[in-house]
Amino acid sequence: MALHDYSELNEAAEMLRRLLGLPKGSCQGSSIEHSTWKPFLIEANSELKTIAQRLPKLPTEPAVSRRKMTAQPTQLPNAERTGGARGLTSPHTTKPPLATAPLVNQPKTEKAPLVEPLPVDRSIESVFTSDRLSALLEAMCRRGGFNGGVIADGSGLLLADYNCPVEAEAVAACGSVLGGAMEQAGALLGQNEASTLSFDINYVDKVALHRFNLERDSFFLMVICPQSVDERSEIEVSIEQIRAILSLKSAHSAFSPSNPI
Amino acid sequence: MKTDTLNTILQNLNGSSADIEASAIMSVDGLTIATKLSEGIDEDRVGAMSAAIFSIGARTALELARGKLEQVMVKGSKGYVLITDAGREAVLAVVAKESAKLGLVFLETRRAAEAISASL
Repeated sequence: MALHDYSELNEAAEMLRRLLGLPKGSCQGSSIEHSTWKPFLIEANSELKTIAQRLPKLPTEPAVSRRKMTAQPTQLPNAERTGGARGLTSPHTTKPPLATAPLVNQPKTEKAPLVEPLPVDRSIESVFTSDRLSALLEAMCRRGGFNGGVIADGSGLLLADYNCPVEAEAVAACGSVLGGAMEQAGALLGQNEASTLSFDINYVDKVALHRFNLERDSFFLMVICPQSVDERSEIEVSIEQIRAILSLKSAHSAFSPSNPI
Repeated sequence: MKTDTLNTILQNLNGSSADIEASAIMSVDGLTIATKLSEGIDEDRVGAMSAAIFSIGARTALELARGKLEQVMVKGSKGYVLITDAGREAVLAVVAKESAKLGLVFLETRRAAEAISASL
C-alpha cells in the first residue's frame, strides 16, 4: 500500500500506536503534523525508520488526490495503472484495510510471457482451399523475400498465385513446360528424382521451379525472387504446407471405399 | 445414409473454392440426385443441360476415338460449367466463376467424382 496524503499517514500512525500499545496522544485525527509523527516513527524500530526515511519524499500537499485519480483513470500511464510504479496504486483496485496491508508499497510488475503467441493469420484458416493457398503463397513470399509465386498442376493449370509479374495462367503453363523439360533432362542424366530448376531471367531476378508429388498427381511451385536470395529452405517448408492443404484427407477421404460411411 | 454422404461431398466441393458457385449430382438420364445450388439456379434445368451435354460428349468421344468420356467443359464469358463422369450411374456438374483457378477446380472435381463413384 502506498501513503498518499496525511489522512493515510494518520491512519498508519494510529495503527502503529495501537500495535505498540501507546496511549492516545498527539498522533490522532487529522491534526497530525510532520514534526509530530516523524520522531515517533523513528523511535519505534528500525523497520519504521526505513518508513520514516521515505516519508519526507512525500509532498507536503498531495498533488493528486485519490478521488481525482479515480475520476481520471485514463490519464495514468500504463505502468502506473498496472501497479508498476512506486507510490501509485491502481484506481480500479479496492483499497485493502490498513491492518492487513503492508506499509511499504511493493512494486508490482507483471511478468511478460517468454514466448508471445504468434498472430493468427485468419486468411490461412479460411474454409476455401483457394484462399488458403493464396494466403500461403503470400506468407511464403513475405518470409523469403520473394517477388511472387504460382502453384500449378502437372498439366499447367493454375491452382493459386500471388503477385505474378505477368499473367498467372501463363506462368503456370510455363511451369508445366519447364517441369516436363526438367523431368526429361533428369532422365537423360539418370537422375529421375530431379525436382528443382532455377534460372536467371534478367540481371536481378531468377525463377525457381520445384516439382512435388501428392498421391499420384504432380504439382509445381514456381517462385520469382532476387538472385541473391536462397529460396530452397523456404520453398521446402511451403511445399509441406501445400501438401497439407491439398491433402485428400482434408476433403473427401471420409468417403473412400475403404472407409464407407 | 447415401443422401447425407452425397450432400457432404458436394458441400466439401463447394467449400474448396469460393469460385465454385454450384454443384449437382445427376443420373445419366438427367434426374437430380443431390444438389448444392446457389440462388437463381434451377436444379431441373441444370440436370437436363448436363445430361444433354454429357450425352453429346460421350458420342463425340466415341466417334472420334477418344476413349471413354471423362469430362466436358463449357466456357462462357461469365464462367465455366464442368460435367464429369462420376461412375456408371451418375455425373457431376460444377458451375464456376470466370475467375476460377481451373487447376484447383479440376482437382477437387475429380476427387469429388471419385468419392461419388465409390459411395453410389
